[in-house]
Amino acid sequence: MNNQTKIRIRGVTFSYNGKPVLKEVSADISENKITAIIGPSGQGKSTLLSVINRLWENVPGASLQGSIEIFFDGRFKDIYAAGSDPAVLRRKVGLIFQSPNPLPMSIEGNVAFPLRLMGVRNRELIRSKVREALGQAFLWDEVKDRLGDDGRSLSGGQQQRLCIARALVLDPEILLLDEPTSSLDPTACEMIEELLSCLKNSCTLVMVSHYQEQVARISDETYQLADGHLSPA
Amino acid sequence: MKIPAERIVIVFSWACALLLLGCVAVIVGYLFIKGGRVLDLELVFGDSSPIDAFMLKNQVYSGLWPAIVGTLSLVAAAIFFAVPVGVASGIYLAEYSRGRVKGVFSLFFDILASIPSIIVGLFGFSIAVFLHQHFSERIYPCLLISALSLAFLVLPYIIRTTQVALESVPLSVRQTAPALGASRLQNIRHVLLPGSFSSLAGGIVLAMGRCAEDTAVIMLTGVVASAGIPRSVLDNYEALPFYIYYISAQYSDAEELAGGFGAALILIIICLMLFSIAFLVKNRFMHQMTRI
Repeated sequence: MNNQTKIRIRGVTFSYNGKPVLKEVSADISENKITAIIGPSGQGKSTLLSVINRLWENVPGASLQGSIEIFFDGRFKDIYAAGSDPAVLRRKVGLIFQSPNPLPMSIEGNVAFPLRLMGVRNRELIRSKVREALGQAFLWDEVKDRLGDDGRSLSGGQQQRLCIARALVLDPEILLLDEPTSSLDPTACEMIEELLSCLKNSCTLVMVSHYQEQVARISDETYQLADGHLSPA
Repeated sequence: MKIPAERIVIVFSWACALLLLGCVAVIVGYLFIKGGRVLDLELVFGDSSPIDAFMLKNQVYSGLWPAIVGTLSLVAAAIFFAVPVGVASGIYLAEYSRGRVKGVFSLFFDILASIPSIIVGLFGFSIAVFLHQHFSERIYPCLLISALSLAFLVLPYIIRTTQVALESVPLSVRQTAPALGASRLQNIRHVLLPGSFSSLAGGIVLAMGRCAEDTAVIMLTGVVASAGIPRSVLDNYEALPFYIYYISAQYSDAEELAGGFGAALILIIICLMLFSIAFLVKNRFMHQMTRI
C-alpha cells in the first residue's frame, strides 16, 4: 500500500470573480502520509483544500476547471462527476479550519453532530462513536467528566482537538487541515502535531502550514504554492 | 487630554441620548398625568366582573376589554400569517437566490416596505369588497382581512431581518456544518437559523409592535367603535389604537378624553408585555438550541 496515490489532481484552474487563484495545478497525493502545502499567504492554499472537498461551491463567484479524482473503494472516482453528492464526499473528506469552530452545543453534542446529520438515532452507537473519536483526538481523558459542557468553554488547543474529533467521528479517509495550529500556543501546537502523526495510520492528511519547522517535523511530502502554481518543494 | 473634536462628539452623543430619553419620559409622564387616574379595573371591564369577562361569559360594553382582546387577537393573527411567509422569503433571499433574481426580489420587497399603510388598508378593503361581491355575501371587512393586511404591511420587516441575520453569520460558522456533510437545508436548520435567532426575534418583536399600533390599515378593514369581543375571525372587532383615535376626535366630555389617555397607557403596557414575552421566548429558545 506504500505510495498508493489517494488524491489525483489534474490541471485544476480555479478562479474567483474571474481572477485566477490556482493555475493548471496537478499533483498526486499519497495515501496514509502527511502532505504539506506551504507558500506565502493569499496564494490560494486554503482554496486548494476547499477544491478537494467541494466546499468552495457555496461561495458565489467561484469557478473551477480540471479534474480531481480520489481513490475510494478500490478505484479512482471523479468527485465532480454529475450526480455525486458533495455531502457524502465531505463525510469522507473532513476539513479542519484555521481557528477552532465548535458549534454552540455541548462537547458531546459537537462530536455527535455529524452523526445526527446523517440520521443516526441509536444513542448507544452515538455514545460509543463519540468516545472513540474523542479518544483518537487525545481529548477523552480531559473531557470525559464534562461532556455536557459547552464546547466553546474549552481552551483553544482543546477546541481544535474537539473539532478534529468531530471530523474523525465520521471515519474520514482524508483529513484536510488549514493551518490547524496557527491560533494555538506552542504546547497545544506540539500536541496537535503528535496527534496528526498518529492519525496518518488511518487517514491521508493534507495540511496547509506557514511554519517551516512544523512542516520539517511532521510532513512526508511537501508542495509549494506560489503565483497559483504548485510545485514539489 | 482628549482632542476638542472628540470631546464635541462625546458631548453631542450624550446630549442626543438624553434628549431622546427626555422625550420618552415626557410622553409617558403626560399620559400618566392625563390618564393615570382613570387607569383601573373599571376602565377595562366597565361594570362587569373581571372574572366573567376573562372567561368570556359576559360581554363588556362600557370598558376597554373588547378593544384589548381585539388588539391582541389582531397581533397574534397578523404575526401568525407574516412570520412563516416572511422567514421563508428571507431564507430564500439569503441562502438560495443569486444575481439578478436576488436583485429583482430585493427591489420588490423594498417597494413593499415603502407602501404607506393607508394604501395597504385600501387594498385590504378592496379585497373584502371583491370577495363580498363575487364569493360570499358573508364576507365583509373583518378581523381576518385586517390581520392579512397587517401581515402584508410587516412582511418586509421580517423578510429583511431574516435575510440580514442569516447573511451576517460569519463564513467560518457558515461552513462548519457543510464541511461535516450537512446539506444546505440542514445547515440552515441546525446552524444558521439558531445562530441568528436573536436578531430574528428582534425583527419579529418590531413587527408585533407595528401591528399593535397601526390605525390606518385597520380603520379601512374591519375595526369599529363598538363590537364587543369578536366571536370569529370573520367578525368586526375593536382595537385600542382605533379607540384612541375615535375618542380624541369625538369626545364629549373630559371623562371620556381621560379614558382615551387610559387606553393609550394600556396600549403601551401591552406593547411592553409583548416585548417581554418575545424576550423570554428568545432566551428559552437559545437555551434549547445549545442542548440538541
